[in-house]
Formats: sequence, C-alpha cells, structure tokens
Amino acid sequence: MPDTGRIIRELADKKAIHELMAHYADRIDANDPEGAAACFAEDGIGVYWQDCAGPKAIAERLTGILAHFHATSHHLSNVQIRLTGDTATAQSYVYAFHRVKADMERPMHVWGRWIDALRKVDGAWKFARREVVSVGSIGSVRVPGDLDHPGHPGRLSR
Amino acid sequence: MSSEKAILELAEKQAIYEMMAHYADRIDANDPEGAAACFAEDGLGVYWQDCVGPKAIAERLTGILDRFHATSHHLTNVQIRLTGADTATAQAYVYAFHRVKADMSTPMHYWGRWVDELRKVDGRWKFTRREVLGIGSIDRGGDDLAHPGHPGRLERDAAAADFSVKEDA
Repeated sequence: MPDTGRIIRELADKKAIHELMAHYADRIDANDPEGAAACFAEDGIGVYWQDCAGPKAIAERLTGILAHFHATSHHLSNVQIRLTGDTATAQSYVYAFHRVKADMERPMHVWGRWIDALRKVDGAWKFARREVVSVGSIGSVRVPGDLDHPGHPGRLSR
Repeated sequence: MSSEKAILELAEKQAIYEMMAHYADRIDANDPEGAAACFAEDGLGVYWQDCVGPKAIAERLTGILDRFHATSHHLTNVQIRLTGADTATAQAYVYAFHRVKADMSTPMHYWGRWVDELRKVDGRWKFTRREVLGIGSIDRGGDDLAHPGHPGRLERDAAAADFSVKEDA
C-alpha cells in the first residue's frame, strides 16, 4: 500500500520550492533586489561570482548587477529537487534575456544553472545557498568567464 | 477519481518529468552513457537515425556531443499521458544552446520536440522510444529550414492565413 500521505507532502514541498524559484525570478525581473534577497534565509549565501552573506549583502550585490539593465527576463526550467526532510538541494536551468542600458540594440543572452541548498524556515522554504553558474553567454556585455564558463555542474571531459 | 489515484498519478508524472530533466542534465554534463541509461534495455533512440539499446544510443550521442564545447537543453511544455499501470507517452519542448568547438564565437541554437514512449522498469520510468524532432535551428549564424517540424503540424492554404478584419460572413 503506497503511503499517499508522504507522497502528497513531498509533491507539495517540491511545488513550494518550484514556486519560490519562480518568485525569485519574478522579483529579479521586477528590478526588486530586496524582494529577491528575501528568498534567502537570514544566514543564506548568494554566490554571484562572489560570496554574499545574508539578504542585505545579497540585495546590494543584486542592485549593482541589475543597474546595468533596462529589462531582464529569467526563464526557469529543468527543475530538479532532492528533499531531505526540512532541507533540500536543487538544480535548475535558466535562460535570461537582458536589455542592456549601455547598448539598447544588442541584448545579452545568458544560459546557466541555479545550484541551490534550501531550508524550511517557519514553514516557508528559503535558499540557504544559491550559486549562479554560467554555461554560456552572448551579447554586448559578457558574463565573467564567458567562454571558459565553469559550465554545467560536473561536466565531463572526454 | 479517488484521491489516492490522483495522488499516485501526480507522483508518476513528477517522476517522468524528473527523468526528462535528468536526461538533459546528463547530456549537458557531456555524459552520453548517463543519458543512454534513461532508456530501457530495448529502448529506441531516434537521433536522425534509429539506435537500439543504451550502448548504441551512447555511441550516437558521443558522436553528436563531441562537436560541442558546452550545451544547455531547456525543457518546457511537458505533456504526459499515463496509458497504463506502467506505460506512458509524452511530448516535451526543448530549446538548446550549443557552444560549437569549431567556432566558439557563434553558438548554435536549436528548437525542437522530444516525443517519448515510456515504461516503468523495476519501479523506474525509462524511455522505450525517444525521438528528437527539429522545428528550427540557427547554426553559424544561418538558418536551417529543413526540419521536419512539430508532430502532426497541419498544412493550410495560404489563403487561410488571413488577418484582415471581415465585416460579416
């Protein structure tokens, strides 16, 4: 007999985490760094090509990044979540369109991964750690590293 | 439908979605054996030619992946139909970024469909058939117009594609 109670709780947790990820993208694209940073736990680490600890430092870093752009659109897909009770790890894909203030004719495109550790805090999932890993980018502004992006996590060489 | 049946069907669909995401993860990790392990032992992979079984599929994928420095296969529009206790069919959309070794400054972009048949083997969903169908691509800055296109795409006379406003019929 399958434990439907456990199954439905796990599906609900995965749905809640997926919605947190979508909400984060919504806040980034709304040019709302504080709103995006509020998706982190109080001691959460955001790794945006440098480590930022806590929502305040994360919001400051995001403010500096978002100031380059007239508009952004972060498209979330390939959401993979592993639950371990009240903690979880996740990997998701992002393609992001960026309208660049300095060159409105030439958008920047970025393909990457969000690598997350999560924790349930007072019943709500928060990022305990979120790292942005780039796989590729094109456009008038290049993501740090660009052609030697660290690339897909664990990418194999043959 | 009983709530137990509804819950179990959601769980099966989630498991199939996660398997599709895992397949993309293995492709983008440059791991053809890992991707091929998503197929049943008698599974058929159609990558512009038929490949039967994980070994033949891994060989085919190796040849394809060797062209690329990096890839990113973005999975969306996942539609799954559970057709029995342990069988399913599915269609999903894929957009894929490819950093091409031969020309690192000009990525290839690819839009397509994954059309799947699945079976549960020892409690895990596997592809019994997966076909890649191209809708369009931009390769080295040029357009490739020769893709087969969306499954079941309808043909209509050009006259039907009329956006003008009509007074009355």
